[in-house]
Amino acid sequence: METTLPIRRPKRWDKPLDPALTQEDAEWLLSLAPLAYLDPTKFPKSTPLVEIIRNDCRACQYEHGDVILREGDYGSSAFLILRGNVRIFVTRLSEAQLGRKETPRKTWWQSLVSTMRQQRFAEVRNTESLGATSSASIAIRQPNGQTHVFLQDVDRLFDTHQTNTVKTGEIFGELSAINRSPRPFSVVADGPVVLLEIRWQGLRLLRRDPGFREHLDNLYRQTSLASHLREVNLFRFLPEEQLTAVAQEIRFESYGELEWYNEFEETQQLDVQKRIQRETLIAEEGTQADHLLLIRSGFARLSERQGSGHRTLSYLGRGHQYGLDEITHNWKAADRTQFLPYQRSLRAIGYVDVLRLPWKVLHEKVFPFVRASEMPPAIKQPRYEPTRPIVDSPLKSQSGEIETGLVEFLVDERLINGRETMVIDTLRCTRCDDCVRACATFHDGNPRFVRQGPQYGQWLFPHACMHCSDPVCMIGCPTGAIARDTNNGVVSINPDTCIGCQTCAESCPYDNIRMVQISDDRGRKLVDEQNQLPILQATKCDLCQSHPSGPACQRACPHDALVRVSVGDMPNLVEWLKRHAA
Amino acid sequence: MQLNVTQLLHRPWSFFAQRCISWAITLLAVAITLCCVWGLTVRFGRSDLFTGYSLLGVCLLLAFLSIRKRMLALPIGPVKVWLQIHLYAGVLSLVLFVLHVGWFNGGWLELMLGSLFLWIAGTGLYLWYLSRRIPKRLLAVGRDVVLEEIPRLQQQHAEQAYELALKSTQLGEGVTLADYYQQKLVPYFHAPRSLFFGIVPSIRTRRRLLRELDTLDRYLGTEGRALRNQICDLVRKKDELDVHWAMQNQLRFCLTMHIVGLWALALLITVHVTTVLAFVQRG
Repeated sequence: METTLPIRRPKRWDKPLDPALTQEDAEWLLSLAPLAYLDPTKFPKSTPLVEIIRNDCRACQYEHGDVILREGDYGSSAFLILRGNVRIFVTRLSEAQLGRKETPRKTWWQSLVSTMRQQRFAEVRNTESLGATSSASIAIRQPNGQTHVFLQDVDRLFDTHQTNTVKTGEIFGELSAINRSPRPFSVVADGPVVLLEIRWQGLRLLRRDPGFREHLDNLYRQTSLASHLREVNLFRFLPEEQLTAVAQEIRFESYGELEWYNEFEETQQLDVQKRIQRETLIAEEGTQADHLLLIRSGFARLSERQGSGHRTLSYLGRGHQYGLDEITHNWKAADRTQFLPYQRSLRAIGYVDVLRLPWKVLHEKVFPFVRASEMPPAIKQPRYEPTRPIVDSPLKSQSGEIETGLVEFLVDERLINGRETMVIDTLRCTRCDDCVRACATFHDGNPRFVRQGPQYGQWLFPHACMHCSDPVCMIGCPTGAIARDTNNGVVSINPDTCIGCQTCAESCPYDNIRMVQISDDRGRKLVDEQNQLPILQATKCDLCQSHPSGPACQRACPHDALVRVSVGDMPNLVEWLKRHAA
Repeated sequence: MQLNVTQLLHRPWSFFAQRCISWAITLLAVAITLCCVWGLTVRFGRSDLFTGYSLLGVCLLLAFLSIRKRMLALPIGPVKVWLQIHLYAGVLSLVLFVLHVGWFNGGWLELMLGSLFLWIAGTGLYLWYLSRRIPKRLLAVGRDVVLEEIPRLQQQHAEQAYELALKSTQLGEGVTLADYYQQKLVPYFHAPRSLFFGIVPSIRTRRRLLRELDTLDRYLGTEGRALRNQICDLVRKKDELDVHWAMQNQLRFCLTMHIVGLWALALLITVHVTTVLAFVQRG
């Protein structure tokens, strides 16, 4: 019996964004104003410009009033206007105007009454509000199988809000697409408009054109670089003039796969060493420490060689830096000819956006303004030195204050993405399920999590929404039903606008979103009037945000075994783990 | 170093420190009670009324945990705090009970009341012990399973074992494995475990079965041994599920017994207090 089956190796662009887009269409698009300025010679033969346009772009049509981007949403595409105009809302549209449901916070009394009055049936929905959206100002239309949300009284909104008009040939939404950051504004079609949607893979390739790259980098420099640098301790008190000079020297780089969640399950099956080898290497231990790297978004693995593998020491997220210890050490060193190389390696977990700053700029423009007490201490026992051979470090079971195996586990399972991760100490948990019952009580009789999930030793990480730093579930929701609360960061689903397309549930790499069948207040299951198929909706943990008491699961645990904690916030996590491990 | 009181109060205490503080408060409460009872006794006061009312108050406090669990939205602290109060108030109630009842010499109502109180105290203390023992035991078992999932998984393992046994007959290596399955594994996979196992789950049966399966090796060929290994794996998994089933149900059963007793006690306390008040008012 044959044990292998030869197939054609899958290739990039096997699945174009728009299969209907032809070579001729792509060439025509390239003749239009902004794309015509791109230099085809800057693109390698493997990814020619015309193929990027043909495979990573698609044309979309919007009608007057259609919402193209919603403020606060996450997306992975930029838009080039081919015909017509769009309006960017400078002043914010309210949550209701955007079709989001503002979760009213109940009073203690209302909360008590609602939890005491048990629903006879689980997942009951108001049939009148379903699909009708939560506000009268928006509606849904579905041209050519696509779902578009449109503003009902758009002209009045244009009059009452400050807007900027973006015209044919201009591009918008590119920064959020590349950085995976929330859209900073809402964009609405002003009359019929034809857009060219460019997915992030294409955008990244287009950055090979120096003009295009410079355009994007300048946009970032002008809009948010200064505020991002001010968030870093090192630059907090830097004079404005110096900060501008530093900003000019910064290079923007992206590593890894923005759509890491597509390959997450496959990666999990790989051998541990192969998993690390798959991650894009950003900086390697033992090489010259010539740049400071600031993590702008995403996560990176900090590791060092151990035997024939790599030992994870920590993970770095937004605002963290790499290489500062070595560069400071070199600055303090008397002998400036023998520079210490990087002591650890840095790899992209999923995707990482970094800001790269040369050491010279730090030495000349930054360090003179930083107090000595705020500088990291010199490295006492460097592992890599220019004059000494590299010796394998002794194996340590602890990495700082946390077990090395647990750090590896958190990184491998991508739990570091969690901002409100549920952690259960199974050495204290009696499996009484009070947490599950409490969750059901607070959510109309159906718990929003399963007390099962990845486990490392005594620590169980159940399948409960983690309200991730990188909420991949929010990408692609056609109605914006799943959204992040800008005040508290909670990601929740609006049942009035959820159309049950399952995009979020399929995108969530942690299986923390479940599709449920909904019913009316008499317990009748709701079905599609056309094909009689059940109507499903996505449900997930919302941290009980409508209740003043906070997450019911944590409040209900009698044995102090359950906590909601940010895994990305290492000190907080370590404190909890240490208390329980003692 | 400046001591920040707010920080100190909000800092999560270590479990050991929590225990020490709780015991210190409980012992202080016991000492105050003993002093009061002694003071009342030497002054020829009604120490029985004092201990009775105190016991009633503590019982109401103990019963509040149940209400707290049902009214999670109430802004009165998490359940974990109330459980700690419940545990240590329970200890205090035992002291008060001894002081109130003394050497038992009442009628049938008091006998029932006293027995019920001791029943609740006993189940409570056993639950306290179980809540410490069960997590350790379950973690040692290995994989974590939700109670509701267990019957489905047991059924799945039983079917897999049956299929493996059936497959072994088609190897041309005889029916040794199938015979053994018929004799020893059918009851193991399909019948519920004994009541004794439910109370004190042990791995004795598993060990015996694995040992016996090991000895079958000499009658099996290479493929038969591979099947035997898979069956051994299923035996282990089934035993793990049984341990989970037994331990988790033990906790639930004891909790039910504890709560059922509570309702009966509440009824009897009402009768007892009403009777006592009637006699006290008559002088």
